[in-house]
Amino acid sequence: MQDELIIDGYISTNHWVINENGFKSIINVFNYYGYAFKNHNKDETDAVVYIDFFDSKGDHLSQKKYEVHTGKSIHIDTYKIVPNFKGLVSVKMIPNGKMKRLSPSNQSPISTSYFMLYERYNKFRDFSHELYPIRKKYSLKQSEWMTLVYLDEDLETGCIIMNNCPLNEDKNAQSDVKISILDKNFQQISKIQDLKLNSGGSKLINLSEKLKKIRSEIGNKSIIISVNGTNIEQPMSINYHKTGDFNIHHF
Amino acid sequence: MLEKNIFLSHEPRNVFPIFKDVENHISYVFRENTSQNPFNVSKYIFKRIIKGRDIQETNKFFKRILVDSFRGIEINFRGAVLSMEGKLICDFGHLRKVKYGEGFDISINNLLRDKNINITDSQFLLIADRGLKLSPFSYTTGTVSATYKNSNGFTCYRNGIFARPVNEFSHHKPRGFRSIAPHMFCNKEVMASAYFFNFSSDPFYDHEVNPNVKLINSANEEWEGKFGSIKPFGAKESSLEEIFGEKVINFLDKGDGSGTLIAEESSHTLGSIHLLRNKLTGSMSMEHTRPTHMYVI
Repeated sequence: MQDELIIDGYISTNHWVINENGFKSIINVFNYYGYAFKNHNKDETDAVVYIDFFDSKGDHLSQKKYEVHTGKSIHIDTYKIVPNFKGLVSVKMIPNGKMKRLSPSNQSPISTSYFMLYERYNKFRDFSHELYPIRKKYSLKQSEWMTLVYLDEDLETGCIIMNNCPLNEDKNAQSDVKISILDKNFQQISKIQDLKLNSGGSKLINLSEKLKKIRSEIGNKSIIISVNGTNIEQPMSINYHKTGDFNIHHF
Repeated sequence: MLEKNIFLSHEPRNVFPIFKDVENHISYVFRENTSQNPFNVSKYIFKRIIKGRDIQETNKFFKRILVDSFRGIEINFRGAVLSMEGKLICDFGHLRKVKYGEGFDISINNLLRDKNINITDSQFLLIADRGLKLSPFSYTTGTVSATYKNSNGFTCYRNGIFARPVNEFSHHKPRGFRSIAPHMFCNKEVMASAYFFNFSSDPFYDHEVNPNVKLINSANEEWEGKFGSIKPFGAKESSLEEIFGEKVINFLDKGDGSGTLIAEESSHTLGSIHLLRNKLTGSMSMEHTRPTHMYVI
């Protein structure tokens, strides 16, 4: 099943989609293979883009395919495909010539560069580059990620945790995640939240209530969110400003 | 040109925009733990010795990373502000020292206020005195956040700081620059812009650049334009409207406002971010691009 995510040496590269609560997510892919594989003709560098959606439980919902000619772009409004949805999305762009890496010593599969544009209330926008290629094999190794967040009164904050091993039925491919809140001297100032994610699963965690309590104790200082777990890559922080503006970005 | 010793060749560094009308912050968390774990470092050294090591991986290097893993690494950060024309406005010197698990959040506005310097559109140069990678050049400290806040909104982008040669012609001739941004957007309310840094790892760098840009709409029509010149160590932001005129809104309207911007410079490397600015709400968002050829090497 997972083989669908790695075809001819091209690997699906993950991001996160939200199409609810006023949000819409648009995937933007440019076919750059004409620049990358200069010695190949257009028939070979023309490509097919595969987009796979996984709901927050990790269930595979649908796959879409788009032909993208060399030097051209597609802008996919995912709301039209998966409305009222939030979860992982995997994107891979495979050139018709199925070319190998330019450097023969590098045997790793080729990931895809793309951008996610988020819209909120059709008014506020933010965007970010793709996050990470999926992992074919699970790992029991703990990954650790941290970022600094603000306790300003006009901000609400959350984080998005994603499993990096979709379509893997092994129990070890799930994620066991611990989230803690630390001060800038690495001292824990809030209880750890434990979280389990299925293969391909993801979760948006609202930290506002927790942070409000911390703000009442320590004031408008910035603090550190620490995320530890198995089978996770970099989480994302999400900040909602009181005006409706927002920011979604990887740690 | 900058001062000769503003940064040393082994020191990771990068530039981030400062905007005059917002609260500008730079923050960092030291979270890399591989180099802080003696067991992991010993395992790494053992593997390198068994499988074969690079010429730079001397016994002295192995000893240094092993000692670091026991002693704990401290990184000292320095900072400076450069004008959009590439002139040094202010060198703050030492800013913060961090160990594993520690972080900092610096208000650039406060730093400038403390020095009685007006906050203008400019660039913040962040420098670390060492990197963290288990490589002889330890070329990066990991991710730094640049955050921008005002009463209209909040945005942040995150990027690394690096000790690698950039536009350093005595080291190598740059292959040129191409940034591909398929997420450009504009309508009557929102306008995208590109923001390029003409930075170098050579403090004596003195080349002005003038990138060409191409905008593609969803009907695959193309417009070509000039981004405008950028002084050495300078930076410049140009909106789609400034580059292509106000008809750009009609041009991208065919794809509900979406389009792709490709910027090219034949013989220099540039740092590249893109912005979306909402004229009505005053909010903005931004993200850096990455060279797409890196994905297939």
